[in-house]
Amino acid sequence: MNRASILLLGGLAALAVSLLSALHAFTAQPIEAQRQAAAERVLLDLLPPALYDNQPLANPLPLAAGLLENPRPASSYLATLGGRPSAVLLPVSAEGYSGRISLLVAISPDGRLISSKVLQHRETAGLGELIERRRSPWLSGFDGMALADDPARWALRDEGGAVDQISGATVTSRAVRDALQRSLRYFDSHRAQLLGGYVP
Amino acid sequence: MNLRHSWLLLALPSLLGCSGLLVVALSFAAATFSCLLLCGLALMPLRRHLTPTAQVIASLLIAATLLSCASVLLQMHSHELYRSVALFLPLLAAPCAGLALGGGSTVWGGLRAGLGIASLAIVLGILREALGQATLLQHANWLFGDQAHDWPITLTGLPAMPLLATVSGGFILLGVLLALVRYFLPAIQERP
Repeated sequence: MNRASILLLGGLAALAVSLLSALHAFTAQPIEAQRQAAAERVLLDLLPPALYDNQPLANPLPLAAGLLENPRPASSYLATLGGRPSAVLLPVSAEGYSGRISLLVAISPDGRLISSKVLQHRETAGLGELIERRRSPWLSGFDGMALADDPARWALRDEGGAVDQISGATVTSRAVRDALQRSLRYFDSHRAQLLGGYVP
Repeated sequence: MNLRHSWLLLALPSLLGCSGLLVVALSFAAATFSCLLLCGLALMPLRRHLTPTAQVIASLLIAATLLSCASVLLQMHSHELYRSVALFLPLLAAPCAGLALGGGSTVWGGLRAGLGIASLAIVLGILREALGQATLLQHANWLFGDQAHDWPITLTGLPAMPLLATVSGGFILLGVLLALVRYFLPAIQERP
């Protein structure tokens, strides 16, 4: 490699480094904003947009590890409409068939389940995977239920109830059902704290 | 064995990884075409002054810079799109090195390679999404913004083959496409 090559390559490298560092410096903020918006979309597409007009993710309420069976410290979020709480987002975990299932549950101030979604799971593709909303509407079957409902509404068909469990994935269905009930029970016992002191 | 076009194969992993959804394939095609073309353009004035080894190093430097710029621009546009493509974009530095090795005009080489990979990505994207998930333009809002929320089309009547949504399925589909091309157009020379 002759001297001209080495000089050219060195110049090229210097040019590349300066160009990339300038680009990174200029775009760091828009990228961070985009990243936060994407994180918000993942969590907040659970709530219908007409239900809230604040930034729920801006004020997290910390939950210690172990509460709601979450292995790590998590946060709950409060969505408000016109200053009044309209929904509480609670992360809850369950032990599924092949690992931990993480769910995010949206609860209305009167203790009713608005909606829920699976954030993470390691269930079998085609079987336990059907708890995901985009794979099957099974999880939407729990929307609108409350703890005060008839216990038969919460029980699986195996147990003589009304919930049609995913065939071939009874353990997974039961784990998700239990997690949803656990979140509603937690909400009931910590209602004042989760709603930020608001009394409906 | 004719090795002139074999370095295009180095783009295969990126191609298969990014063609699962049409929207992802479109952005990958745009990034590939622009990066290959710009790399070819940037390499042209430098070729006279560099030894062959230095040409390869220069092409890798230019390719890495261009691909980093492409991924930063993609991050600014849509974070979900960036996450789908992030792993595979840097791998495109390898075909760019092949531009320097190939000999001949790098501008035409870059143009042809860019067009080839981009069009193949788009074709694979359409087929893999339509046949694999029976939808088209899913997640169109990632690429085209908020106005595209109701663009996704569901193709009813088509059976969905989830195999095609995986990379292995894409590889099989590519093989089937190549077999079809060889069958219907036997005049095309043996090209790896």
